[in-house]
Amino acid sequence: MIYFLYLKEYYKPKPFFMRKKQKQGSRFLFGTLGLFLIGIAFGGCEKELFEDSLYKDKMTIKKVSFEEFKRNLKAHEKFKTIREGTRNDAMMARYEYNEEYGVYFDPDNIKLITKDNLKNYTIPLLKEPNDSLIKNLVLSEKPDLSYSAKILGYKLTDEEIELIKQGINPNLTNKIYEKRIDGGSNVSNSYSNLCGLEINFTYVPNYCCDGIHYYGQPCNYDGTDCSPPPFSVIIEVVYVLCPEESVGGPTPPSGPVNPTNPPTDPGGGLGGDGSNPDDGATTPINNEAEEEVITTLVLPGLAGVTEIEDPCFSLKKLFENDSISPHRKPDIKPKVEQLNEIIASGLPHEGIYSLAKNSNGDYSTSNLTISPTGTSALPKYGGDFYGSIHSHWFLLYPMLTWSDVFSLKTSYMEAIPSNRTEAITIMVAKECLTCESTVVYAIKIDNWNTFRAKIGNELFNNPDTENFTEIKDKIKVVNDQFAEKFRNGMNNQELEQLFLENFANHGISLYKANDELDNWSKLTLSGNQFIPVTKTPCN
Amino acid sequence: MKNIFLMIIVLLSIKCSSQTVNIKDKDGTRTNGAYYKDVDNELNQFEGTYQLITNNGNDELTIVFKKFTNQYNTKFYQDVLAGEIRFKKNGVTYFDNLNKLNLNLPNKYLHDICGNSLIENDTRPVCEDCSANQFRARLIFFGRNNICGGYVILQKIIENGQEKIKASFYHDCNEYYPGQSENPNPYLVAGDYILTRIN
Repeated sequence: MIYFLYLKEYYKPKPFFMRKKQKQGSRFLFGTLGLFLIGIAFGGCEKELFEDSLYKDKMTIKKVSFEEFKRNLKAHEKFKTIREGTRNDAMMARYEYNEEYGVYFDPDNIKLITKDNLKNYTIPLLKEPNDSLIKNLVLSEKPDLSYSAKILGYKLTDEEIELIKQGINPNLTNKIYEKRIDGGSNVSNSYSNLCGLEINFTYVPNYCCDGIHYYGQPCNYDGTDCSPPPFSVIIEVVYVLCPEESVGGPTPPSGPVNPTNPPTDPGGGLGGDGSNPDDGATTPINNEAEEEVITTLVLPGLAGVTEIEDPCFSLKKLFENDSISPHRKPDIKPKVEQLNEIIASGLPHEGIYSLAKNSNGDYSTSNLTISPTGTSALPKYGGDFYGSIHSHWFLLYPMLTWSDVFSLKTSYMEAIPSNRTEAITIMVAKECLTCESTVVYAIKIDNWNTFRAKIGNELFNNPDTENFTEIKDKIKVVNDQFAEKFRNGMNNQELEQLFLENFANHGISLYKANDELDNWSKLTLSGNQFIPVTKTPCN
Repeated sequence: MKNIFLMIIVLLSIKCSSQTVNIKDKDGTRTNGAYYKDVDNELNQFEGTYQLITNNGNDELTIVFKKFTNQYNTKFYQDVLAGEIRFKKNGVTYFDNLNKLNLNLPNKYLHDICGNSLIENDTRPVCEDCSANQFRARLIFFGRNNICGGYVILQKIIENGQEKIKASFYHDCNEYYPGQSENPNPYLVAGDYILTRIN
């Protein structure tokens, strides 16, 4: 079977009127003006020609809600025929399971690519822990306005998935598999590797998360309504005549997979559950030229922008307790007091509690973990966990570090969607080297896309991390540069100022607990050099 | 005359665009084209091979440091101190990367230890036994073979005429990545190590 996988590449020529003209002197004023006008005229022509070329394919990409998707009746009808999932309670909290559709999917991250007025929907499907593939359902509109359906699977390492989360597209060569679910003679029961003879990938630099973005046009990212680079690649799969070949076959147990050993479904999730007599059947792929498939890689549960409640509301809740039903409130005050004791001991350890809320809305904290000597504490992420409270050893940095901020991002990303609004990182430290008192700071996310852009920019635009393969190494470099800002003798207000100068207006906000531990104040830069930080108590 | 004037302007532009910053004055920002220079050659004091052997030779920590000057990273120039480690515990060599320091790596931060931050005595962690105006170096310890890394603070010590360094390792494993253990157990644990210069 021969496939060609390629990406369209567009270049945007620089219009003439954008080019700088150097003034030669007043005597050339009219000449320059004339040239300028000619430049505008030609520039306009060039832009028009370019746009004609660009819009010839009329390829656009945008995110659509599930409601919007459902309004496309034919695509929706096709979607309803997909029965690829089996009910799995463990996945219920994280993904949408629709009995009607019989499939787990992420309704918040559906992408629509339109080319030549034909629509191509990419719907991210669940990834179970033992599933070796990231799976996207692709519904492609055909010229007769009916829809074809395929599942593309991406065989990615954990590191590559993490890169995508950070906004970097990994090399997808030999990592794309497909499963045909169209019914009839085109059905396959396992994934075959799209290992074409010639595979070319080109990554498009920018992609807007909201609204329509035409390739080749700049995405004027202002940190609010667009996302940074993730998902900036459109994949066009073009099927050509190829030798007849069988794919599929019995479904062996899941396990490590390489391109010569195509992955198969694990028992549950998207795979057959054994109840279907067709499971494991070998069905040859139709040996005919087919229409192309246009899609883009989407990780489930990634780009969803959760509605974030007022940070003050969720912060104040942290100190509340309910003596009758203790699990109904987070009640972190005793935990903070416990961490104060660790700090007071003077020992070179950090203490940490991870914060969790289950699907019933019950709050809990993990057991206290005390880190080994000279080692930072590690929070728990994922599932019900939405944040953590940790202490800093009093001899070290008495403020939130860059990696603490990264921890907030991870808490958000790994938490189940319903817990994301509560994502938080809290730090307790001694107010000064000789102080008895401690301070409690918290950071909360105000704007996820802006925050993610900030982190991605600092991680991936650092020349010292050139050729690095691991995110954790990049974090160390950025963390080190942030630590450089710390100067001798800085008091708490200066540290707050330092933190805010780096992160204010980047999608997170900083809060400080009062001494009674019953309220918080939001800290903002005042612009006043004598009192640089303003405290605004939460109402 | 016109050409001379033009040349002066060009030369002045070049001069203005190449800014030298003493690494003691780094503030967490980086300027494109600037040279972050070890003006006072503070990093030189740490160059060499240092070793700590205990447990009848069954435990060994050897670190070799080398200073690299004027390293360009596509945005700015800098002097850095890089290091590599050999670590042995209970007779088992967990990693031996000493020879990697001789590799001509395009980015010196690919070495397991690298950096160029100089910290004063009263910068946390405060140095009680540093001499006046003594600078310590704070370098990134990537710990790529150690399960967990963080940073290391180097303090030069002269004891009975013998050159030593105190290497204080702080581990920060708080960089979550999928599959990471919740309780990383590094081979080289955090703490202070006094190593003697052997080369």
